[in-house]
Amino acid sequence: MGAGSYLRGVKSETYYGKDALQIDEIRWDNTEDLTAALNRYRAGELDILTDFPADQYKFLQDNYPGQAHVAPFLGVYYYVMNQSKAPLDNVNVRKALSISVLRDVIGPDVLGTGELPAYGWVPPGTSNYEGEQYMPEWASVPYDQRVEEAKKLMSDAGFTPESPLKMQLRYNTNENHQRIAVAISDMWKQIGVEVELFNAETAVHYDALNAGDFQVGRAGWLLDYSDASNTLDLLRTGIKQADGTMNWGNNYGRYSNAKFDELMDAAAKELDLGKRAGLLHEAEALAMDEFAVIPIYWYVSKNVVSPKITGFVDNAKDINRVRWMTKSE
Amino acid sequence: MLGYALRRVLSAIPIVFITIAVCFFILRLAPGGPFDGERALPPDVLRNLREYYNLDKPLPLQFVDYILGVLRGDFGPSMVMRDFSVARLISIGLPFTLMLGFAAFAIGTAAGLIAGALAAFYQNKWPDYLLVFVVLIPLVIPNFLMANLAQLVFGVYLRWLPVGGYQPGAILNLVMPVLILSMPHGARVARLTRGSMIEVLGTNYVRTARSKGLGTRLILARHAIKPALIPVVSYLGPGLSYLLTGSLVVEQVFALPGIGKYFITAALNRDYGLVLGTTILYVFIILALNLLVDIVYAWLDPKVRYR
Repeated sequence: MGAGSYLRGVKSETYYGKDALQIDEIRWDNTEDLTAALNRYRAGELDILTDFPADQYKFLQDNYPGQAHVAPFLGVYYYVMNQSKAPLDNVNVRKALSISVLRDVIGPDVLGTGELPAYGWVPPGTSNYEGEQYMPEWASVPYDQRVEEAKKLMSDAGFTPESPLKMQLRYNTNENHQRIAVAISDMWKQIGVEVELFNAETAVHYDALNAGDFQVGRAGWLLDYSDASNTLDLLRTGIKQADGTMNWGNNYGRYSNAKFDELMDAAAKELDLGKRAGLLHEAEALAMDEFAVIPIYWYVSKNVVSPKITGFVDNAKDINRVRWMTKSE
Repeated sequence: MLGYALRRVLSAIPIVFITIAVCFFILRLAPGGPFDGERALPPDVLRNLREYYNLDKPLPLQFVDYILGVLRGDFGPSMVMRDFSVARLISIGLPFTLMLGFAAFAIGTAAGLIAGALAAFYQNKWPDYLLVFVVLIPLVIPNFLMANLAQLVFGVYLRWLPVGGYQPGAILNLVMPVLILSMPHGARVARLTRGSMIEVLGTNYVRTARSKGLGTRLILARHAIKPALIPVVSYLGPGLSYLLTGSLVVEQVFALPGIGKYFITAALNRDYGLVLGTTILYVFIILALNLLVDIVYAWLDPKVRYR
């Protein structure tokens, strides 16, 4: 008979830290069905789940108190706006779209897992980023006033409820992306934006974003390494290729600002981490003040950890090494 | 008989070819490719990858290359699960899927035949009503719901059976998946058997046998079973191919190491080679089983052979 459904790891006798290891054997089960995985956890077959269905968070809190871990994670969920075409090349239209998104309801109410609202571009907790987190002034303005301002910005740009801005919002097919898209298109409706929702599977979605074939699209970025440049680099101007075309990389919205690029270049050459952080902060503020993207929320890590396990510590990279864990029977 | 079988085998060849061609071109016409993901690749890397995987040539030429490869038994590499060839991935998952499918087939068919025959025998009495009702349940409740309910009841609440996962030799882990998979199949077999058995029991020759004074058991065994089986047998082929190709939901829910998950993820990832490989395998299974059924059918009913 063929292979099993998991990877098995056993303590190596030649590992230098083997005496300190508390766990002799680990099984990593690959379960794609999250509901089924939760069932297996509840039956005691699995001790740790590295994800769980968002709609089960309340159930877990009520019935398995303290076992569902939700913690900030280095990543940003955002909407890109295609700035190579009108009307999103207009900074005021981008501003209207961004300030009319009520981020506080996305995490707790739309998703139900308490993701934190994002107003900047570098996730909290990122390394080498001393200094105050970017927070725009409008974030503290009451939502009603923000909507009024957005309406005014839209009508200045020529869009009124009578002649609304008609726009397509693309996202890759996923229940959570859809919920957010529906909520946000409703928020935009009140400032005179008519949104057509368009979903496609992941490969098709990113193909369209890469090709610049969209107006507003959903995207997300999980940091490869804990450094502010990892998200900020996404907003650099594309690189001209030998055949004359532009390679925009992951800068799907084609945001381009020479000053921003200069700051990023300067930061890359700066050896003093404190000064470098200053340059990066400046770059972040510049891009965010120009509404280069619409950050929506900071990702969270979702784990379910059995009370038998000790040594599982929530952290921004969501890395938990089994070598630091113990399990009681 | 042999000529009949040979004709059927030969007629399957164009079907396989047409399926490959349709699948190949539809897959390429769909937007998105195997290298589109959340992160854009640099153009040079993309160009090299396309060259490496033979995706830079004109489409008809790629098709010819692919067909020539298949004729040599080479299904190419997986474009997303690097380091694996399509044939290797299939050979890892297929034995498990076959085992799951055949087990469900054997159990479902046996249970369906017995239940159907009993219902026909007790037609319009309480065992019949009970059975007709019970048989409806797996037909109206979808697999994944049934599987999740079974996990909750037998795994989480009662703790009789493991909820999911599998390791070689863990028979208990197979009980729920096999039963869940076999239920809709068993239900269809039971309905077919009941229907055709009732028809056969009402025929003149059964009445004649009864008037001769033959006992019920003898009538069932000698006269009623074989003709009553014909519609059932014609369903068994598609039924088995459905079990072998349709086990992906069950494999997914119970976290089992079959080929079902490759098929789903390959289609979503645009893993051209893997989609084609699994499709060809499925087509092959369906054709082979239909062929087998036709031959059994010809054996059961001589009229078929000369048509």
